[in-house]
Order: sequence, then structure tokens, then C-alpha cells
Amino acid sequence: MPPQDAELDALSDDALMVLFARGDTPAARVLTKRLLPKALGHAARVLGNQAEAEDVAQEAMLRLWRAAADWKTDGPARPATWLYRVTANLAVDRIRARVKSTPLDTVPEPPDETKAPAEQMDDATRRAALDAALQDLPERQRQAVVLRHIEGLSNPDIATALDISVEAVESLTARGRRALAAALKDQKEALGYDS
Amino acid sequence: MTADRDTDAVELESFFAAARAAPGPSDDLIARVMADAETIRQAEAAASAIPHQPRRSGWVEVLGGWLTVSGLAAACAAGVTFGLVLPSTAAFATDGVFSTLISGQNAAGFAGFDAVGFALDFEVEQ
Repeated sequence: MPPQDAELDALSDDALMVLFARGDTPAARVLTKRLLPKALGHAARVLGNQAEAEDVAQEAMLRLWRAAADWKTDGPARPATWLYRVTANLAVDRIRARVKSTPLDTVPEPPDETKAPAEQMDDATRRAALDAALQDLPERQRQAVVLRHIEGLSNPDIATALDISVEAVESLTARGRRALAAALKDQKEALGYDS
Repeated sequence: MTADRDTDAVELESFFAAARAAPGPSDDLIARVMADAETIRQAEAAASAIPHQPRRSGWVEVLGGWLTVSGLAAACAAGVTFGLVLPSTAAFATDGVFSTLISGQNAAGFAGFDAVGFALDFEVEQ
């Protein structure tokens, strides 16, 4: 008898991958519930475009399903880290394709969603401001900051996902935080919010 | 300076927390992802349902199976062995045969024989 969803919830991502490879569809449902928000969130913050982010997240998950048959539970990467890596690479491919197909001076300014009437920034406004500031970071810094501070990955996991050293991750996140703090402070002052 | 950095850190964290609270994937995206998973699952199931054919080389079949190929291999091995190990014995044997054929009455019998002329004569007589 196949395991119920409650039993599946208690299993690791690795175990769910093995179950899916054996034909267990509910295992795919639990993996989707756990991993799709991570892939989508990362893609959305790196790309700054929800429709493109959904395409990237779907493609990354498709690759995860394809990888299940040969998944090694004692391999170097966990499914989440593996998925972040695939998502990051797909997002970078999209950004490069954009740069090739569109001259930079013709790219329209992103819509300014930060002009909320409230005195204090609400969550949606903060998200919009953060997304706008993230778009100004160099691509590697953006990936590292998102993975560290929003997705909550450890530095070694980020190093694996981005295929760089742990020292490089520390450097990227530190510089990214400084740049973000400065950009967000400027935005708040320009919009008339309390600092 | 340190106070500024602390304030910045707290401030930045509030932005990160807002980002973490972002709404999840839409039902449509989840449905698309699950449809992909089902497609892959069915493809894997179909692939594993195909019975495995025993691996037999095509050329073995052409030559008549493993029994024939074994016989051929044994014959080749024997030929190579004779060629490498017994050349002097073979030369001795063939020398004996040819020297017998060419010497004495046999050699005389062969010396004047003209096969082409014999054939032409036979045609004319017919």
C-alpha cells in the first residue's frame, strides 16, 4: 500500500525522490509543496518577472523529475540545493538571453510599486522595494543574497548551488547586503517614509 | 557608526522577512508541475514495462550461433598454432611430397604433357 501524505510529510526530500522514481505520485505532490515555492521565489527575485519566474520554476521542477530515476541519496547535493542550482542557472540563461535580444537603453523602467500612501511600509511595499533594489545588484550578488537571507540556505549549500567557494559566498553576501541597505535607505527617503 | 550598521541590519531584515512572507505558487503552476511529474512517471513506467531482450550480438547470429563461432575460433587457433610452432616440420613434409612427385618416372610423365594442346586437339576431332 502506498504511503499516505501524512507519512510522506515526515520523509526527507531524498526519500521522496526515491519514492517518486518508483512511481509514487503522492511523493511528487509533497516534493512540489516543499520545493516549488523555493524555486519560484528564487527565480522571481533574480529575474524580477513573475511570468518568466514561473516558466523557470516549472522547467527546474521538470528536470528534478527527470533526475529522480538516477538520484543518489548518498550524492553530494540534496534535492533542494540541486534545485536551487538548476534554477539559478536557468535564470542566468534568461537574463543573458534578454541582454542579447534587447538593447539596455530600450528596457523600460520597472513599474514603481512603492508609492503606497501609508506612512509605514507594509509587507507588499517592502517586497516591491526589495525586489527593485535586488535588480540593481550584480547577478551573482543577487543570487547569493537571495539564497542566504530569503531562502535561508547555509553558506556551504549556497557554495554548492552556485558552484563557488564558501569564501566567495561570504564576500558576495556581505557586499550585497551593504548595497541593498544603501539602496533601500535611499528609496525610503525618496518616498518620504520614516527612516 | 556601529549603531548605524545595527539599524541597517534590522531594517534590512524587515525587508527580507517581508520577502519570505511572499505568496506561494499559483494553483495553475502547481497543476502544471504535477502534470509534468505525471508525464515523467508514465514514461518511466512504460520504459520499465518493455521486456529486456537477451543481449546477443548480430554477427554471432549471422554465423549460425555460438556453437559455430566456437568451432571457427578453435579452427583459427589451430591454424595459427601450426603456422607458428611447426613451420620446419611442415616444410619437411612438403619437401618430401614434392621431391617424390618431381623425381623419377613421375617427373618424366609430367614433363611432356601439354594440357592446352590436348584440349584443342580434342575439340578438332569432335
